[in-house]
Amino acid sequence: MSRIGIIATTFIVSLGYVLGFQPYWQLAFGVMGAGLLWLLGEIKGRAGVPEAGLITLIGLAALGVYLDKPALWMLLGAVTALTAWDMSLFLRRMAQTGRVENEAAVRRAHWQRLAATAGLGLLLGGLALGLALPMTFGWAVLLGLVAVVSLSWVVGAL
Amino acid sequence: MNKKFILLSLIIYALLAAGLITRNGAFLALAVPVMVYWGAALLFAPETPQLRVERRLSHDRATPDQPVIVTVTVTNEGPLLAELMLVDAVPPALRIIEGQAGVLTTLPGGESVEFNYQVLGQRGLYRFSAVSATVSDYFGLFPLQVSLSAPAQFFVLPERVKLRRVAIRPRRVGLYSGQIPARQGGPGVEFFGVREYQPGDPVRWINSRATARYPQTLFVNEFEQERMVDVGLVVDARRQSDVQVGSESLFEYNIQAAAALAETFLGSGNRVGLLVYGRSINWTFPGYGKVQQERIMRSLAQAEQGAGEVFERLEHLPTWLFPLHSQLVLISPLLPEDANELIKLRARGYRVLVISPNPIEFERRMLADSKPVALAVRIAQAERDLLFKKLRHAQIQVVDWPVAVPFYQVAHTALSRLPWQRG
Repeated sequence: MSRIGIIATTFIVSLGYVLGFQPYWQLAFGVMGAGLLWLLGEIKGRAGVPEAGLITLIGLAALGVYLDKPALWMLLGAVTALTAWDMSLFLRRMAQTGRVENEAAVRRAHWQRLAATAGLGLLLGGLALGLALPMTFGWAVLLGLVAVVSLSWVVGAL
Repeated sequence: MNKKFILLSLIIYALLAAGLITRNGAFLALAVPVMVYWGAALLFAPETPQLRVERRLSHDRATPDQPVIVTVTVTNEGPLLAELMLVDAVPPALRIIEGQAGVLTTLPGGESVEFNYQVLGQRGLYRFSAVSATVSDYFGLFPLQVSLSAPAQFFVLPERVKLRRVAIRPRRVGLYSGQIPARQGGPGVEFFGVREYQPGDPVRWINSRATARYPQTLFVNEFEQERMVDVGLVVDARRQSDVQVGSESLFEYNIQAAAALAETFLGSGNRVGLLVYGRSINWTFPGYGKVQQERIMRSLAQAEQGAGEVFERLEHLPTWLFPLHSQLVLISPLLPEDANELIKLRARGYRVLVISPNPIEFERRMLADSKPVALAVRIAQAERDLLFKKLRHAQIQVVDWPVAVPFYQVAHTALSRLPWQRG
């Protein structure tokens, strides 16, 4: 399942780079290369590969956004990358345990939650893309600071 | 906080920072799914679980080739646990031969999960302490680990070797009847002497030949009484007297012999105590019967070698633990300097029997055949023979045990009859 997610992520993000008026073929191949490396690492079960894959693919999606490539594709790519990374870690966790009691139910419950979360993330992300709130740089900095401080507060409270 | 959590936080921070720097809202939109994922995990973060654990072992004592089944049952007495990972802390020396010592599951409130596995271990005492339970949200972002106490223990007892008979004859005998000739006339089996008839003697004891010679007097046969005796088993656990070849240790043979002798002596009704002499002194108080046998077996199961300066030599052997003139059995490969101490024990009146697993033969099995090895073996064996000669000269019974030969065979040959001894 995680392998399908990696392939889908690679496909979506690389397709995002070649869509539009100015295709970036080199970057699209770069995305494919990164995806392939992730896939190979996943097949071999190397530690740290899912994390590296997630950072790389989300970074490439962000780069795509910066280069004015279709943001919706990049958002979709980021969501699939997140899903693939989660699935990879979940499956590894299950494999490490050795025995999973009621395995089908555990998998089903996880997938349901993941699908709901990914769907909600995609929906809210899509809505955020459609929203255009004109604001000055000062407001943007203020909101950004609020976000950073609140996130830090939550982290500190844990 | 785990790695996943830190990673996601960094991604969110990076995307927010990129959005602020470039004033591009799409970056913020990219951060939204990650924030939703993060928030969902936080929303369903687990609280401290209320779990009850129960551990059952199929045996509390086993032999080295007997598997023990460990069954762990965990009951959730709180709300639903989305992901519960249970891992049992198995003592490192145990080998799992079947099953898994852990389970991953979803556990609704009021329900239980059970897992079991089979373990196999070498001689020893194995203690189980706790089961580790990790509960987390569905995404594993906020795991919470608790340790559930579930103590249990089992012994892997030494290998049991049945011996037919071990002949001993200490000077001191106990009050109760047993199987050791007591050098006293009375009821028994073996002929001891003839004495004058006393009222109450059974008629069938009358010695007709002696009576015929002296018509005025009646003579009866007297038999040698058989009593129980005190036996002190001393197991040499000094590291310097041991020989290790690969994973095999000569000390295990000491234990095997001690177990077999303890069982035989106790089976004959004797009172047996055990002293493990190594890094420290481990003393099992003398006793009789099956309870004592279990005590000795458990003590032997836990016996370990050790090096201590105080107990480097046998001179600190606590002889006050053993009654004077009782039987001492030392199980040791023997060091050259032990001879004098053993002779001193004999001089004090103890009957001393030494069972000595042969370290030369033991080590030789692992060495390639060559001229220097053969010569070294000859020299070492000559030194050992000399040591034994010295001991035998002091009326100490010594049994050389080449460990390739089963102990019962050696015991049958060397211990089923008493050697001639004075005093």
